[in-house]
Amino acid sequence: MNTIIRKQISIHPEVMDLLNKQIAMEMHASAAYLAMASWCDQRELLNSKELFYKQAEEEREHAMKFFTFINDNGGAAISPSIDSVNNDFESLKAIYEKSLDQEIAVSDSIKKIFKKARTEDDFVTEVFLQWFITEQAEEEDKFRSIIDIFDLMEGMPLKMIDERIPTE
Amino acid sequence: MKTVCNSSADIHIEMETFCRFQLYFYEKTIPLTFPQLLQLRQQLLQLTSPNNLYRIIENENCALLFVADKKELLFLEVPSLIALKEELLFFFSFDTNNILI
Ligand SMILES: [Fe+2]
Ligand SMILES: [Fe+2]
Repeated sequence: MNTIIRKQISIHPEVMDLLNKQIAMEMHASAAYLAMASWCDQRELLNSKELFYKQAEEEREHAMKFFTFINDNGGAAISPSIDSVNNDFESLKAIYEKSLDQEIAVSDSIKKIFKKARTEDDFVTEVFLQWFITEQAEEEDKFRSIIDIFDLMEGMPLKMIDERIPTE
Repeated sequence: MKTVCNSSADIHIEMETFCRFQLYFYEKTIPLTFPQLLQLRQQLLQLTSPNNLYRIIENENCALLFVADKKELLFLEVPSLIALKEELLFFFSFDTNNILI
């Protein structure tokens, strides 16, 4: 029976379930960044606003990578429901700290799928996930260095700090 | 070609051709494609999550489930719901050591 399934699908079904959860996580991250972008936009924090609009787009692209990967390999990608998006923030620094937490959670989740793919000998998924492992390391680093700016410029006006935030 | 998936007489899946399958569910025989089987697996995993199962047991003690792109409706009492889920999981279990290499 196993070979029958194998002929229809090249990824392990339980790995596929985790990949579908990852789609939901990326889409939630996208929505979360959009909320952050709006907060910054309303307060004329131009660099931060640009960064978060871009982040929101990027997370959606990540979700789409998982989405097409699942379907291209014979699986069933699921369009997720996105709930409880926080639109209420206390400060710009808090937003960046939340972003780092979110990126770390995503990294951990991707590593979990990577491990599962490895135990199931799902090499297709393992290779696919390598790009995301590198991407996540970059994302974490980006937010860490921004949080450093806040520490270095403590006490300075918010707009001056915002001007130091790289948009790329 | 007919390959029987599981030993349960009441509920089992058979392969008809490369991309056509049959679900035998008591007196019903439902033809299913592979994407429809994937969808059924997903629905059953959702229905039998601890929270949903608890809700089913606390309330009507059964579930109605559309299958085969909503062409068929299954009435599932808790034992048959679990048996069908087990059958689907068995169908989708594959031991990669045998086949990937
Ligand atoms: Fe992402
Ligand atoms: Fe990210």
